[in-house]
Amino acid sequence: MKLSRYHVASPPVLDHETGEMQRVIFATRSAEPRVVSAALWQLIESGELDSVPMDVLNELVDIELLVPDDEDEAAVILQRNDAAARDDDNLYLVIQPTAWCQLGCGYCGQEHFQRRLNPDHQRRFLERARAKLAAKPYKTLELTWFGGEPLVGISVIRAMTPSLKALAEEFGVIYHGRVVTNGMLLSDALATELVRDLGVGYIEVTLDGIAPYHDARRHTKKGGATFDQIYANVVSLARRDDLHVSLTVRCNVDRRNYEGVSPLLRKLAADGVQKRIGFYVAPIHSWGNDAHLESLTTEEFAEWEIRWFVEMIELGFNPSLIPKRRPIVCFAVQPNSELVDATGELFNCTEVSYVPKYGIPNQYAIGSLKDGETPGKRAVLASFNERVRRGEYACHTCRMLPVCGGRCPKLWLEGITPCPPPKFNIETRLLLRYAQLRLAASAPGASAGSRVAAAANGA
Amino acid sequence: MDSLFQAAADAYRNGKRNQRQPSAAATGRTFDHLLSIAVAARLSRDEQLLGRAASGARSRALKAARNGQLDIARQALSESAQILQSGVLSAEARLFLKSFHEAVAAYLDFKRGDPDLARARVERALAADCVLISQYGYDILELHRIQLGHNLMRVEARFGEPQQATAIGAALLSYTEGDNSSWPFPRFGDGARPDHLPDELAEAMVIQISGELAILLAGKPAEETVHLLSVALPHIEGIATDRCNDHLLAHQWLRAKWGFARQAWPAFFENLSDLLRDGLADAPLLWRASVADLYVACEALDTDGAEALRREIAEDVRAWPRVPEPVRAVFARSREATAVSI
Repeated sequence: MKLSRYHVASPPVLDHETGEMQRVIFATRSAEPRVVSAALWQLIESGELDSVPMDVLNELVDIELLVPDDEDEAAVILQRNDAAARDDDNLYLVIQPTAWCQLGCGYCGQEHFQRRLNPDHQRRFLERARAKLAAKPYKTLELTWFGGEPLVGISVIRAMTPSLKALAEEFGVIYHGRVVTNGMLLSDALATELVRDLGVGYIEVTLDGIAPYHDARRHTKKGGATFDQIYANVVSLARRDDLHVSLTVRCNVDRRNYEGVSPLLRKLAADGVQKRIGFYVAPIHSWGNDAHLESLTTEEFAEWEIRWFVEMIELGFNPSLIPKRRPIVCFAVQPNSELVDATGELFNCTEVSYVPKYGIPNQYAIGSLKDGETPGKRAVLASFNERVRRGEYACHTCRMLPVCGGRCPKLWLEGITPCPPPKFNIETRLLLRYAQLRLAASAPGASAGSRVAAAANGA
Repeated sequence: MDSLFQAAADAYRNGKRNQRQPSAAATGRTFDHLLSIAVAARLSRDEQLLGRAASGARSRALKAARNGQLDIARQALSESAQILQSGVLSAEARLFLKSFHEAVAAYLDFKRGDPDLARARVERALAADCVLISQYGYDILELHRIQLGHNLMRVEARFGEPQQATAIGAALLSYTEGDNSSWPFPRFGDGARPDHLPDELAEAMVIQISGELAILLAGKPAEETVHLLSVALPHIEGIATDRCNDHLLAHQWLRAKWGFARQAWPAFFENLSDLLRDGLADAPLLWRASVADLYVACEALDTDGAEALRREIAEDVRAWPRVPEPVRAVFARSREATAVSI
């Protein structure tokens, strides 16, 4: 057996209770972290497995930190990813009910216009969904309403949801609705309707910092402020006990607003919703435009992200520190998933519709509701794993591939390296998680954040 | 009769509230433990670790196959096959891994609807077990050999050979209870010592085999059930082996089912109570199939008490996870077919 190349080892850290130097080891093949003594790790790393107790070795085999000597690990991971995409029992579909958005965000690559998915297109899309459900025994139908701003097209959501839910019932699958929204129209009444009547169980809203930061970039098309209204909607929804919905706030960040993250975290905590929402910070990337030129470098972002994590822990948020296994990079590689935009064009990516740079017809379109899929077009992005297999992208040799999946097939294709922050801060994330767990187990009243920060700095 | 029905109804109500966890024998933990002791005594550390890696791959394959994700299952199984090719393995270790690999591969073929390939693979696994038991001393694999026989029974049941399946099932019951001569696959009988099986494992296996018979017979017409089950008459009468009476639940179920098929309701209710009261922890298939029979019996009785119990069961069944298709069909074609949507 050999040590899997798909692992991360934290720097050694002193356990004050045992007086022992320890490391957190993360087997990315299984996304399983384990704490081992630094001495034991030295034996494992140097291949002296005969000196390691058998029960420890068994555990390391179980989490695939130890793998057969002659295994081509990259090939196995990619084969697993391929199989997972083919066999996914969740039919993932995305609808852009409208091509319009009230906002004029500077980094958005979309060109908005007044168009809604018309009844004929709605009917054709439902027919396609029916054919997909009939072709394979799915367990869930996951429908994301995306924009433009999807709530501007609420009439389409209202018109289509009963048919989508009926389809799910007909085929015995569970229906999950999701909305990715700017939050402007997310009033109490509409949130209630979305959750109770329109099958929405997950809502994601974007806030780019507190008002001065947010309003400077996520303003209306006429330049009007939007923060107060969106924030009020978010807090109001987060406080509701009568609606079963997951609410997540995403904060898009570049050089112009990264300093707005901490104040936003503190504001959310001051309003008491930190335990009722998900929160994550996302780096601005190219949306077919030059938005990424204002981005922090990934290394810079990774460093800031650790600070935000520490702050989140201190404030009582529950950040996701340890990445999960990601066999399906995105719906581009799922053979039956698709997005339809408001004009009836079909895509297998959320980042390409309405983007002028991609031309007319859109170079990434895989077909249309009227004509069906164009042979070969889906493969432009769907062949991502094959490209990784051929060594065209750095993912081929990256230890994070199992938990990253490759991040973004489209950006790789466009020559932009989309490696996510965990690639650059995973060691500190591991220590942070370790400290978090140790502190949770220790005496009450300990200042979690300060000790966590100390542990992280100790790295 | 009324009191017997009431006892069965009470047993059902107690049983459905019984939160007891499955025993180590029923979940396979006892077998895994004994197997690991045998392996540790015979194989090198490297072989044991490779074996563990292969076991992990097989577990993923089984889980995916049960979930209908055959591509993921195939991929996982290919990783197990790759380990089988390792030059590090001794002939003994390779044979050991091959037995378990072929068993899982057979299940994949079974799920893909290929009975011939499934049978051939199970037979390869049986052949490997024979050598491992008779030449290398893996006595514990006796249980695996019976499990493989049980798998062949499932293949016959699934692919339209119910008579063959029940015959295998009855023979396996006798064999598991220590009757060497009953082993239904003479070509793969080397080293047979079923009487050496630990009692709790034999009990768990008898319940498992009976459970498979229960699924096979679920919803079948009375006349056909009597015809198929007659092959197990010595077990129903408790005279098949010296240990029939040791395995009370399974044999009570056989007698209950026999009574059910002949509409001998007193015998049915009388023999059902212990099983129902025990809950589904150690005998989930037997329990669910028996509840389905109880439901049908309630329909036949047509009394107020029976009607109340029938409605109660119909409501309870809505919350059942993973209902075997033949059992599901019993409820689906019942009086409240539209209401009992599971």
